Amino acid sequence: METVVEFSNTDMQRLVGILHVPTQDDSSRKTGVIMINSGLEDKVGVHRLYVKVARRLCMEGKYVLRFDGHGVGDSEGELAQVSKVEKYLSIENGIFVNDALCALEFIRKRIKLDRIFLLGLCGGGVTSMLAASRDCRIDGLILLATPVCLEALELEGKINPLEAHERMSTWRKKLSSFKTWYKFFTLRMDYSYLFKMINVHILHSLKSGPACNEEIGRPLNQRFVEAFLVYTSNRGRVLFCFPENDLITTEFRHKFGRYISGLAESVCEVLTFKNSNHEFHSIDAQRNLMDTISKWLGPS
Amino acid sequence: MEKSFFFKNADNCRLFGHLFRPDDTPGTTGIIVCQPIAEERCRARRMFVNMARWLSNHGYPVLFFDYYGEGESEGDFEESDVDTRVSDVLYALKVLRENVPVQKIGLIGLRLGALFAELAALQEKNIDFNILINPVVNGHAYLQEWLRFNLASQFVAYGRILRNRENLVQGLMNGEQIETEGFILSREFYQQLAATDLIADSGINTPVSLVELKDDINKQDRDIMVFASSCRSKSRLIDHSVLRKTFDWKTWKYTNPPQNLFELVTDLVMKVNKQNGDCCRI
Repeated sequence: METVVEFSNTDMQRLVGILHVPTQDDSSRKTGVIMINSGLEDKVGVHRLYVKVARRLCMEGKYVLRFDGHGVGDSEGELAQVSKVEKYLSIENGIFVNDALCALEFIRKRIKLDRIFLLGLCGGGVTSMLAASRDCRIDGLILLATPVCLEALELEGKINPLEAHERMSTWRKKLSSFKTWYKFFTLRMDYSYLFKMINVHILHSLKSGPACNEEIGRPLNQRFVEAFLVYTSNRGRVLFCFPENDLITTEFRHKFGRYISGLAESVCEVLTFKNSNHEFHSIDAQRNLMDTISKWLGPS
Repeated sequence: MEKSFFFKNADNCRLFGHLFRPDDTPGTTGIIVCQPIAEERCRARRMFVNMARWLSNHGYPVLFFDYYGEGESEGDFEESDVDTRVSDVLYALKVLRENVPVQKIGLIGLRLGALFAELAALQEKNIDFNILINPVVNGHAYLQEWLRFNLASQFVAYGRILRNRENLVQGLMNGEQIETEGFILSREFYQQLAATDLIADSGINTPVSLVELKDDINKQDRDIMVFASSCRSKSRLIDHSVLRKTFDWKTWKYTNPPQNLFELVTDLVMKVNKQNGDCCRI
């Protein structure tokens, strides 16, 4: 059963949400999941991903709350009239954290839950992590394609040097392959893309000198790092789900790897979804993602 | 005053609705928003919420809703088609009348939502006006964009095209599910939309205002020009305006409320009201 719910944030703005209540609740431990919207998209999510995941979890006996943050979707309030990149930056700095904490209070007052999880895609993952570091009663986080770096205004509309660096590494390995040269000489390559990458790579190397991957591209989001360290030290569990074809995944591998090394899989699990893009578009990626989330949450 | 609620459509399925009522005396003209579909709906959502609040502040009650299989409504996208959406638009007329005492009702549609508004007007003579923002006038051409997205995502995922356009259409006709931007296209939807052409549908008499949002206001859209002249020849074109684009349904390029569009739409609603339903030739 899905019902429209409304609650206020700390600025007394009315936030609109949908609460999924299982039709049969004979579970031994009541589980709740709050889905945090990714940024500018509403609570439905890209390609209705949040609706599909919420309905699946609800069928499995879990309570799910999806809601629009202030200034998004059906909720009250207005985000500052700035550029898209500045809006994303404000999300990475925690503009929706208070809304998430208010959603937690709302669901706790409404339903007596034994376990509660936050789930977010992209910016929703960042909000989830920042909120979790401020509420130690959250049992776990499911972070989908979550950026660990901050938006960089100077890179707006440009190629990220880390992407160029990655591409160059891949191409270097393929230089000895006959197939590569065959494609090159038979006009089967995207030359514009190839030369753009080479150009960015050379310019960046000349400007910054040889740098390790941790230093290339966008800066690491220190708030996110600190929140992760606080949350995992409080025995919080984290599931990272990354799409294979996404620069965010590369950034995570290069820049965040050292923070997860040494952590037990029961605390922090990192999964990569093959052939998937940032929004888990393909039918297989959607199916795998839902199965993974369901399995990780376990039975209610 | 705003309220979100679920209501049952003609097939007894739950649809999500959002009603905006003016705080003082409710206006006599109500508006129903026909949203675009799939990812375009997602990108247009906030714009329509802001537009509805704007119109409501100017005295017009507004209802917008999610079609069956879209947004918060019941069902899966692949179960819905053109007919189900048009049926939902017609049902929304009833829901608005039940909630607000209005004498006139107009539809505002964006992209494919505009096409649904026109198809609804073909069936329901009590729609007083349509405001169409960048309408899709040819279903077949629109579907080519969808297939192009699929080809692009194949290229990103596999570095090459595994199935070309013809192969995808063939698969659809054989009952396969084809994914585009995460949405699953069904055979029924494809066939119904491919057969829809607003220029050819000559039975619509509802007064219409056309709004085009463009990055380059001097660049002409051939399909819309033909559609506009077709409406003009039937004396149903009230207005045809072109605005610089400050809102986009394909990307998140613009994220702030498009004030110029809100002002124009309010003017158009007032203009139609003044004409008492009689349309003028321009």
